[in-house]
Amino acid sequence: MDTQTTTSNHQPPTTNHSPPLLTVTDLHKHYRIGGQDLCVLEGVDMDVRPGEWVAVLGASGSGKSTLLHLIGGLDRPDKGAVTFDGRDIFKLRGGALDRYRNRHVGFVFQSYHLLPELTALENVLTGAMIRSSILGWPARRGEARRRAVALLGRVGLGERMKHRPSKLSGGERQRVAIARALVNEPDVLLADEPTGNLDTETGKQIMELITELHQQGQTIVMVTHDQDIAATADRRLWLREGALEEA
Amino acid sequence: MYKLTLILKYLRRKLGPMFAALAVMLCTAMVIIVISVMGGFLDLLQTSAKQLTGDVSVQARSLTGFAHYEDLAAAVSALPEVSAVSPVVSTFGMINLDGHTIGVNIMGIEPGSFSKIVRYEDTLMWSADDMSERYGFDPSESKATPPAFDLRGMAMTLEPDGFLKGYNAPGMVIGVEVNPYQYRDEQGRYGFSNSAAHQTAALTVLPLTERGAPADLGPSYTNAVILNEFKSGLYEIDRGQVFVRFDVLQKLLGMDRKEGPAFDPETGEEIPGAMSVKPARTSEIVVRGAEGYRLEQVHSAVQGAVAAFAEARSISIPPVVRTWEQRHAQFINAVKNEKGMVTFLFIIISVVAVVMVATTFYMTVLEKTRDIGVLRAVGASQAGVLSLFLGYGLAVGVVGSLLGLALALEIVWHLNEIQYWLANGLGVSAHYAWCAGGGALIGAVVGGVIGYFRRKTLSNAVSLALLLMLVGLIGAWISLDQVEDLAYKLNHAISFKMWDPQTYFFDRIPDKVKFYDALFIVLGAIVSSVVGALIPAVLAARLDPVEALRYE
Ligand SMILES: Nc1ncnc2c1ncn2[C@@H]1O[C@H](COP(=O)(O)OP(=O)(O)OP(=O)(O)O)[C@@H](O)[C@H]1O
Ligand SMILES: [Mg+2]
Repeated sequence: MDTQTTTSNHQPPTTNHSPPLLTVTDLHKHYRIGGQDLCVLEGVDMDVRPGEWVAVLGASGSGKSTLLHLIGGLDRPDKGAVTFDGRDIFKLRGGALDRYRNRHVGFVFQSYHLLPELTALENVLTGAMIRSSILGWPARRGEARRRAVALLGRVGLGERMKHRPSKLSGGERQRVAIARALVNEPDVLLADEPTGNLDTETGKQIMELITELHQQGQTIVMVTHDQDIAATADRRLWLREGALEEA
Repeated sequence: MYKLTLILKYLRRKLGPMFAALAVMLCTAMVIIVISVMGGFLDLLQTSAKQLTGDVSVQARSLTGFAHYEDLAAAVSALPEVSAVSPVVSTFGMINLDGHTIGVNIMGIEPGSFSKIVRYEDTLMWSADDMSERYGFDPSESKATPPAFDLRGMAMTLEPDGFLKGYNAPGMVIGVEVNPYQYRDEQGRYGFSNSAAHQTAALTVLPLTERGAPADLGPSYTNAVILNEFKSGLYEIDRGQVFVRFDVLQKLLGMDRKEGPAFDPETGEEIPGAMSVKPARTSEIVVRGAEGYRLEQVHSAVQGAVAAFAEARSISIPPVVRTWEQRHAQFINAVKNEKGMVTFLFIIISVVAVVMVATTFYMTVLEKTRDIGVLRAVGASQAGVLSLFLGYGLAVGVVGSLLGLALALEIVWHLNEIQYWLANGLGVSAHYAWCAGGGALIGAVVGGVIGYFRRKTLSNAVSLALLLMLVGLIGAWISLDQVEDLAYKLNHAISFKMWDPQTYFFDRIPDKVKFYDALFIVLGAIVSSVVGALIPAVLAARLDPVEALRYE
C-alpha cells in the first residue's frame, strides 16, 4: 500500500520503491509469568524501506517496546526473523549482533538512559568508543569527536557539551540521547516514545528535530501511543493483539 | 575504549568502589605492617641465635671438658671449610656484685679470636664517650687520661688497664641485665650511670676433676674487675652470662695443664724422676665456616676432623659437633611456626579483601544495572561488560594497594616515633583535641539555636563553632603553659603502650619493609580485588539487556 502521497511531500519518492532495508517476518514473543503464558507478539510482519519513517502505534502493554527491542537485536524472539541486509540478525555469530546494534541501529529511549557519570559529549561518544579498541582509539578519536561535536551542535547543544546529564533538562537530555544514537551513522533510528516523558512544548521540539533528521534521509522506526505524534510519520502501523495492521 | 573511560569515571565518581579501594588499602597496609614488624622480629631473633654460638661448635659432652683441644683446634683450623676457631671454657657459677649474689653462666674466651666467630665486639655497651659524658669531661683532652677509659679496648682483651690494674684482679665483662642496678628507661635505653663498669665482683666456680668429682679444694673464687657490659639483644643471655679470659677461667676450674710428681698407683709412693702431666682441657671450640661453604659442608668437615682426632687419641666419647641451627632447633622451630601464622593471617586478610570487593562490586552492579543495559543497547558485548568490571576491580586493586603501600611505609618507617608519641604525647594531644572539640560542639549547638531563630542556622552554627574551637585551643595552650606539671600528668594518665621496650628483647621496633614482601603483598591485593570483582562482573555480563533497561 502506498502511503507516500497522503503524508510526506518532502520525501524523495524514489525511496519508496527501493527494496526494504529491514524486514520483520512472523515474529513471536511470549513471556511466562507465574506459570501463565503472556503472548505479546503473535506473528508480526513489517517492512522498513530506506529513508522511511514508520510509526508503530498501540495501547500501553501491547508490545511496542518488545517489538522495537527485537528489531534492535537487544532481545531474542521465540520464532520469526528480523532480516537486515539480507541476513537474519538472530543468526549472527561471534559478536556480529553486538556490531549490528553498534553500527546499524541507534536506540532512543523514553527516559533518555544517559550515563550519569559522563558529560554530554562523552555520552554521545559512547557508541564510537565501543566501536573502537583502546589501541585504535587515538587514531579515531579526532574524527569521532568532530562528529560528536557536530551532532551536538545540530541538536542545539553546542554550548552544553561539558555538562553532565543531571545538569540538563529532560528535552536537552533527549537531544543528547538522539545525538548518541546517531554517532555511528546508523541505518535505522529506533525511537521508543521519545517524547513520552516530555511536556507538549518540549515534545514538539523533539519531534521537529526528528522530522528534520528524516528530511535528511534518516530511516526511523518510532514507537508511540500518541496519534498526533505519529501523524508526522510516513506510515503508521497499529499493534493490536500481537499483530501489526496498517492504519 | 569505553571501558577505560568508564573505569576512570567510575573510579572518581563512585562512593562504593572508593570504599572497596579503602578496604583494599587498609588490608594491604595491615598485612605489610604486620609482615614487616613480625618478619623484622623473626629475622632479629634468628640472627641473634646464629651469632650466639658461631656457625659450628665442638662441645664436650661433660662439664669436665675435653683434653688436647689445642691439637683439635689446629686440625679444624687447617680445614679449608673453616676460617676461624676459638676455644671456650664455660661453667656455671656465681658472681657477687655489691652484695647481690647472682647465678651466671661464665664463659672463658680468647676475645680476639672469639670475636671473629661469635658476635662479641659490637655487643659491648660502653665506650669512652659514655664515660666522658657521665663525668663531664673529655678523656681525650684531659691530661690525666687514664687508658682505663678505653672501655671497649679493655673488653677486647679482658685485661684491666690503667688504674684498674691496681685491683690486681682479672677483667670481666657482664651481661647488661646481670647488673641488678641496670634498667631500661621509657625509650628502652640503658644508662651508663647505672653500669657496673669499674666495680669489682667476686666470681665463684666449682672445679671438677676429669672424672667429674669436686676437686679437693672445693669451690674456688677470685675477684674480678668489671670492664664493660654487653647487650646481645637476647634477654636470657644478657641476664645470665659473663665473660672472663680463657686462661683465667681454665685455671680457676683446674682445667689447665698440670705437671707434678708421679706416684706409683700400687704403693702410693712417689716415683723419683718421673713426671705426671694432666693436659689442659676446654669445654668447647667454636668454629666459623669459610666463605663459600654451606653450613652442612662445614659441619661434616669439622665432624671428620673430630672423628680423626678421637681415633688418634683413642677417645671413646668424642665431643659433639653441632651447627647453630641444631643447637637452637627449639627456638628456630618456634620462629618457623610464627612464620606459618603470618602466612595464615595473610590468607585470611586476602579473603576479607575479596569479600569486601565482591560486596561493593555487587552493589555497584545493582546500581549500574540500567547503565549496563544502555551499554549493551549501544553495542557493547558481554565480554566487554565483563572486562569493564574486571578492569574496574583491577583499578580499585591497584589504587587501593598502592595507597595501602604508601600508608604502610609511612607507618612502618615512623613506627618508633608513633609508639613514642602514643606512649608520651597522647595526653597533651588529647587535651588539645577535647578543648577544641568541646568548644566546637558548644559553639555548634548554641550557634545552631541562635541561628534557628534568626533563620541562619547553618552559618551561625559554623561560625560560632569555629570561634569557640579557637577559644578552646587557646585555653588548652594557656592551661598547659600555666598549670605546673599538667602536660606531664596528662601524658602519664593517658598513654598507650603499644610496645613496652622494658619488656622486649629489642629496644626498637623493627622498621624496615622488605621490597619483595611489599611487592608480593601489593600483587596479592590486586589479584584479590580482581577475584572479588569476578562474580559481580559475570553477573553484569549475563544481565539480559532488556531486563536491565527496565530496571528501576
Ligand atoms: N520481562 C518480562 N516479563 C514478563 N512480562 C513482560 C516482560 N517484558 C514485557 N512484559 C509484558 O509484555 C507486555 C508488552 O510490554 P511492552 O513493554 O512491550 O509494552 P509497550 O507496548 O511498550 O507498553 P508501554 O506503552 O506502556 O511502554 C506487557 O504486558 C508487559 O507486562
Ligand atoms: Mg514501551
